Amino acid sequence: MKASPIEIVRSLRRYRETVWLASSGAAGDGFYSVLRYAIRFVRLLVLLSVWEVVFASRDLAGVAALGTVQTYTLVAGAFGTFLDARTDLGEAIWDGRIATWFVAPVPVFGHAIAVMMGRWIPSFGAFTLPVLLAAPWIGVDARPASLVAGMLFVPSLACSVTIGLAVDLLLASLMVATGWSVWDMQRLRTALGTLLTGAVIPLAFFPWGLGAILAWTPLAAMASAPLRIYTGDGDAWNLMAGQVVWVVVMGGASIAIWSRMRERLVGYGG
Amino acid sequence: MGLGLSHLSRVPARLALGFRMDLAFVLRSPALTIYYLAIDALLIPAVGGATFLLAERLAGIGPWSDWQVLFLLGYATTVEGILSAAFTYNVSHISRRIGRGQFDHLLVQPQPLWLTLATEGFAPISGGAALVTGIAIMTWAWTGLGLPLTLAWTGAFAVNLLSSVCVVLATMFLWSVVAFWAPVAGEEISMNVHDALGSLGTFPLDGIGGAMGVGLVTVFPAGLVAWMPVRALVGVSADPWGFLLTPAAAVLMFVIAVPTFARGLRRYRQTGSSRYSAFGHRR
Amino acid sequence: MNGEPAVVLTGVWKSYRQRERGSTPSEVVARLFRPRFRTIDALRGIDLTIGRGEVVAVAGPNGAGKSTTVKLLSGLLAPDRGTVRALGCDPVRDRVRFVARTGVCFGQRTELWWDHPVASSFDWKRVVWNIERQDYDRSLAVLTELLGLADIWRTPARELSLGQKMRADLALALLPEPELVLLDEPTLGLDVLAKRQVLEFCRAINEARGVTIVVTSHDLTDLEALASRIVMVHKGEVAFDGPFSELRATPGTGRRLRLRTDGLRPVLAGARFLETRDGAHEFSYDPSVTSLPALLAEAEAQVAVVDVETHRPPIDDVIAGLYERWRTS
Repeated sequence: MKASPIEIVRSLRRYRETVWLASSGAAGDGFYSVLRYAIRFVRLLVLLSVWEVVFASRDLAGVAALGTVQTYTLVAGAFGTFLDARTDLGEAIWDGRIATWFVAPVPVFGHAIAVMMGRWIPSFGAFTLPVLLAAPWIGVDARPASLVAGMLFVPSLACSVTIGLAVDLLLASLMVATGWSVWDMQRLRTALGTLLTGAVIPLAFFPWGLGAILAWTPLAAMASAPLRIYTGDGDAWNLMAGQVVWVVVMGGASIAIWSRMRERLVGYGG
Repeated sequence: MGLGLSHLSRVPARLALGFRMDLAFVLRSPALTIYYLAIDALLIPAVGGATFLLAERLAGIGPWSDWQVLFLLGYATTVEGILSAAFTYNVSHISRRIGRGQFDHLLVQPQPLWLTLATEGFAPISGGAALVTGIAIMTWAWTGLGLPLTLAWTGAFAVNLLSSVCVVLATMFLWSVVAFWAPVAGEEISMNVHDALGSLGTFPLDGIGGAMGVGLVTVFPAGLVAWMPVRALVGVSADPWGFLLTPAAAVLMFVIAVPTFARGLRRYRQTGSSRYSAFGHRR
Repeated sequence: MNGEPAVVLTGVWKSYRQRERGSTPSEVVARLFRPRFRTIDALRGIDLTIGRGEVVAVAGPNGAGKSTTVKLLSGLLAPDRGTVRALGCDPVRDRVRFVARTGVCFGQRTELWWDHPVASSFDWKRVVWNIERQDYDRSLAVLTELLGLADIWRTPARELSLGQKMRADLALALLPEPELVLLDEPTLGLDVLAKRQVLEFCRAINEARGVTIVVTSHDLTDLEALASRIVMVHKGEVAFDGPFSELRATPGTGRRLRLRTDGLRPVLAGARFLETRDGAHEFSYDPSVTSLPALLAEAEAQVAVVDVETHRPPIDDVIAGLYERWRTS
């Protein structure tokens, strides 16, 4: 049954309220809220310096240029939250909170995504934007490789977020199916994200042809693909096509699993 | 209110209790435990695995050979392993306990706070996989490096390893003090610090000079997690004082962290906690 | 009261500074740069003395200061002004020594280890509280029988129902045989049977060992069954301190008259109609103003009275009336 325009507006209003509440939650603690971004900024600065050291000690002309790698690292840091999209779904399932999500007049997934997006707002304002604006002073060119690269980065980022959400749901389902804790799922995701997505070190720098193999995985589609599109490393349209394939595959798998696990998910937890 | 050093004699009993509870936990669900151990064994080194892969690809990083980088990774993993085995249950992530209002659970125990924090997180079996993995990686790298195993070197290694653990803990506790003033914003700050120290701690930081270089061994001591001590241990640096820098920093950080945390605790006793969440409490 | 009091609060003030949050985007941003705070006085110069072996209920509307009082007594909070003494100690300064003799149980906070069976949490308590083995076995035997721990002994805490968790937490708090027990909302969320078990147990240990008990709850019926004395806290001050019987005697509480008639409801000039339930009409009246025979005569003049019952009003109604008077005064 198609939703009427009024219903669509009401839905959007509900999501807007959820997004707003989620974004304002942490802001209530004033400037303490930005401390975590200060830590992330320090980490980013160190990573940029490490690349300078690496390039100063090795001839890497055949692999990449320092400027490109530093742009890659800066953008990966600035958009880190988006490249590793996570909801509260796992935690809500673990402590039983998800039961209350089911009795709200919004889709459960919609609620989880709205909360996630709400938390993105302060992150974007307090970290992403300042980092991009401060790039020239840090000595990094934050501009995309070309206008097309910049424009394609946006849908690529959207694909990355979608795949991230699908991974989120798949891990949550795995948690319910196996009884593993939400903390282990989060740790699994963090480790995989750090190592295998290309978010910290570009896949081109992996030895033994590992990078080429990982480039075919959905993990690479979460981070490596959009970052390579931005920095003009590789065929942007091919990279996007790969992401779209993974969006379809991962999205389909997660929806199918969600449908089967739905009741079990609600009964799980406290 | 003294330090309660008379309670020192109770430490073995507390640690034995932690061991007993952990062993029972492991034996109750062996399959789950094997999973936990496998996850820890794989994932904790994975955080620094990117550095190792880079070293392999480039035949070393800066003045570090790939074997030396591997030792660095093993050392950092061992530091993390000690934290996982001895300070779990959010003891190291103390900001979570503070931010979630769970600090009250510590204050109703009839023992000094330092004793509670030193022993409540002891889970050597379920949290020991990373420790074993770290030692294994270091041993493998050590054989590749052909380092001599002398008493002096072993002593320096042990002191520096424990100092690195102390540095990480002190840093996490220092930053966690924010949670006394801002429980919402500060709840996960120890995790943010831990992640940053963990990911930066596995990088060889030679060549990073200036204010940043100094900062990485002082105000944000990622350089003391593994880089500084391992430089001396594997011979990247010939500086004879290199073995002493991390222990000295550990003592200094401890001296700073304790009264700072006590200040935050005084505030907690005045204001209490307006939030309470049982999430993560003793689990 | 025998000997030194168990608890003495003298001129205790406790205030909280609360940050005001913005509700609109502009307010949130404005408050980042110019934060606004408001001060809430949870306790305003409270004086309270509780003797050894007393069972005292602390009640009051939401936000009255009940939980703050319990936290001050348990050493979790320090007063802003005034002094708190419990069992001869300053609960904050002498924390370790004090909590070794005190049992604290918060209704919504468990001390159990989540992924471990109840038995492990008790073993943990034995070690951390340095309870001698023979004292532990003796205390545990009593607690097991009184609180029915046998059927949950090997169950992980995460699998316990709320009532089972509460029983286990209560037993955990009482395991070291404390002299002072502080219970904050111990019956919250419990079913009738579980509540009764908890209350009977508290009464039993008080009678057997003279344990001083301070309990807060919104369930006044439970408190009346357990405590001999009630302290009503209102806006941070002690509004009433005395036995329940005195509380009932405060003006306006009265008695209740329930009439079962042939279906019709009489109109009684000397009583206030409350409700009709299950065919019985309930009235409230003040015996010092209107006599029962007069009311019955008035009723019989109008309808056929089949059955008559008088009783004290539920304590909840007494308290609700008090709260309403406070609110409107």
